[in-house]
Amino acid sequence: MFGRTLSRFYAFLLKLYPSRFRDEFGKEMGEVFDQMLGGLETAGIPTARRRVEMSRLYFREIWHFPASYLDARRYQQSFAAGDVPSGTSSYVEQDMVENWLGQRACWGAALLGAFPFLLFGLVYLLKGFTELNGYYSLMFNYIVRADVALTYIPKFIRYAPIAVYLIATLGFLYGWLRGFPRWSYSYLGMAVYFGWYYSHGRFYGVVYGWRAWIPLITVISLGILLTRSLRPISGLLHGVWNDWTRLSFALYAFAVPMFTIIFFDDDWGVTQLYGLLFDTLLLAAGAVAFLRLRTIWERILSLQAVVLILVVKGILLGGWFDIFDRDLRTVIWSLFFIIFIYFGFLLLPGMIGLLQRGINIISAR
Amino acid sequence: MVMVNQEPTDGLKPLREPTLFILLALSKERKHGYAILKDIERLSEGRVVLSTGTLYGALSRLLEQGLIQKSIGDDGRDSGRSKLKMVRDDAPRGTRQRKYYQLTQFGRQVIKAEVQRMEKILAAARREFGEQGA
Repeated sequence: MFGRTLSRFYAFLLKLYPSRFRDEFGKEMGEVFDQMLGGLETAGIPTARRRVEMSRLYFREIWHFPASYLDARRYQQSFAAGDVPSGTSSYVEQDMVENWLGQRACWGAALLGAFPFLLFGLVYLLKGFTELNGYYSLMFNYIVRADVALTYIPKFIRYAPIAVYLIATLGFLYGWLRGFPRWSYSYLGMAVYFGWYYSHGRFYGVVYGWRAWIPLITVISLGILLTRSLRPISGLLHGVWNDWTRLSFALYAFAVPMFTIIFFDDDWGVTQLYGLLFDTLLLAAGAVAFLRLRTIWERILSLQAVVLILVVKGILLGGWFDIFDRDLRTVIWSLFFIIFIYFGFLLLPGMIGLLQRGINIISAR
Repeated sequence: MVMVNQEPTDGLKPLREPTLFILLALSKERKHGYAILKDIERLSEGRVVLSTGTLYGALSRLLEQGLIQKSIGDDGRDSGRSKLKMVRDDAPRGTRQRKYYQLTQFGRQVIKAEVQRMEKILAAARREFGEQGA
């Protein structure tokens, strides 16, 4: 009777698995669980002890469920994608279906990788649009009195960038669970950027300090808890080692969106808003191109081209010359910043990849 | 840069402990799920006890990776290879057929390579401890 009840509970647990996995293995799993219960029933142990052992069996299933569920999800998704390499997956990357160098991401993955850039731009456009001048804002012109709108910036606008941070960390967690495919590096870069950004300075009177890292620390803890392993972290590093352009992509997400807003210094104007719209689309296009292209050169150039366009546009149209009219220290800092991002951040990891590939080719001869 | 001799199975190591035990359990003959669980318990001397979820998650991965393959056989009968037939959708109705898992040739290579790797580590550790007189 007790065994039958547990069996029913187990059947319910099975229903939580993804359908494809359940269709393939559900019946067998149910049978095996029943056999395990049956083994205890015929083991000749006292009833009370037997019930405890049976309950332990069931709770072990529940305890292992999150990790098993992830395996089942991966199985389901690999079936849906139809791209599971048979007998060739790496055990170092164990649970992952990786897009290694030479393989382009599908359109879905490319758009997923570009999403943080679109979100970032959208939120700062919204923020800029509101902060620019409440008087011109359609929303406030019709909903709130214009004189109130001039001084009122709603909290959801103030804290919208935090929402981007949270979404970036969630994307990073999803990437973690998927074994850090290439698209996930943009979420990593952006999450680290926001952690860094909010840990420095005061925001609407709030100093976050180290607490700014809490979302990122939380998702890392969740990732470890769900996968019950630190191996995904080694997978993340292994991914960079095999394809250094991933680091470039993470750095692109870390540094370049900031690059598009830093010179505004919250001094929004209509031109800046149009400029930011252009920059946002450009950044997203760069990310899509990066994820869809195959070779190291193409990938690095796709990111470099975006930064180059941003720099040229900023100098010609964005009033960056104003910065160079300022004191020498500001000029040197600005130039260093641009060069550091342009050459150091984005080009260097890709160059390491090329160097590594060259060494491999030479050593293989 | 550290240079290591490349083997065809190098990309597949190291195996996780449950995976290693699953492959070991299948090294002699094909087995069904419950028999695999029991064998893992026996092989690990009770240290590794898998849930059905963990077992079938791992089996699904091993199937995808081509390290094992699935077959069906009549319930309760000998699981020898001669009676093996591959999974088919047109199995006769009313006959309860159990699903079995068996190592592929590739899976066998992988587990051999893994065991060799572990032996090398063990030998190195023994040499090192031996030299230190431990």
